[in-house]
Amino acid sequence: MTATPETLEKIASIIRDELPKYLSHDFIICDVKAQNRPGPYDEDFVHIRVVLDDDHPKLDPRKTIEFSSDMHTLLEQLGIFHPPHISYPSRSELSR
Amino acid sequence: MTVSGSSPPTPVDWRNLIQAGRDLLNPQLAEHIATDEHVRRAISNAYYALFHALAENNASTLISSPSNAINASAWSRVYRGLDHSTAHRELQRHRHELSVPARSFADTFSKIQHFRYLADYDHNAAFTTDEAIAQLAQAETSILDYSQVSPSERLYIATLTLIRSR
Repeated sequence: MTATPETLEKIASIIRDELPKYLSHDFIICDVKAQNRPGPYDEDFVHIRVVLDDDHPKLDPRKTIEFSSDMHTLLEQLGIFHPPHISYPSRSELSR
Repeated sequence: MTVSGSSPPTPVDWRNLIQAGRDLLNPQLAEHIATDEHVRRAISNAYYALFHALAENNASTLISSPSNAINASAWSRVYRGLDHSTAHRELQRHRHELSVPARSFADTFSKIQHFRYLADYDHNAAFTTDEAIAQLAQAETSILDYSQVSPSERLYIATLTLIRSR
């Protein structure tokens, strides 16, 4: 299902609000962008890019998996039934 | 019944796929700076580690350890029976029935499968090394947690992902 621009903005806002509950204070979220991406079965999925400030500690995979699963359940209420893909580039990586 | 081959079947080792992905991103080890293509291959490896771990789990759950040529052949047939789209569809369709670690595995499988699709086919998509490192770590953790899921639930997941319902 393709998310509308309004839904994508709402998803980004939810991620901005919820993610700090799963990360320590050492992580600084610079930006959150949600976009539709083409999936393998003729359906779009939502890719959320959380840009983190440089020199953050190593991400705990258990926390990011838990966050992603919890967001999947939350986003189902917005009509997004595919698990969202959340990735965590560092700020400097995107400016190269 | 004739069954070819007598050596026990060997799964593709998901741990080696994770390590190979990490090696691609490690400039000291590989003596190169990770290019976009290295990053794409590392993301692909994260997905295939999940895929082969599920294939091995399904075969070992349904057939146990092959002890002769006949059940070795059955084990291989189950292993090879896993299909990308069926696995994704059924894991998502039944995710609310699953325990927390099984649901996490189901979600990680589907989302990294979709990310792998971008990495393998979308020439416009751009990925960072940190994103690829995180995919490998999530795949590894999900697989390790899935190994702790009860045998009865893994049996259920094997039937979900392998057998079409009518």
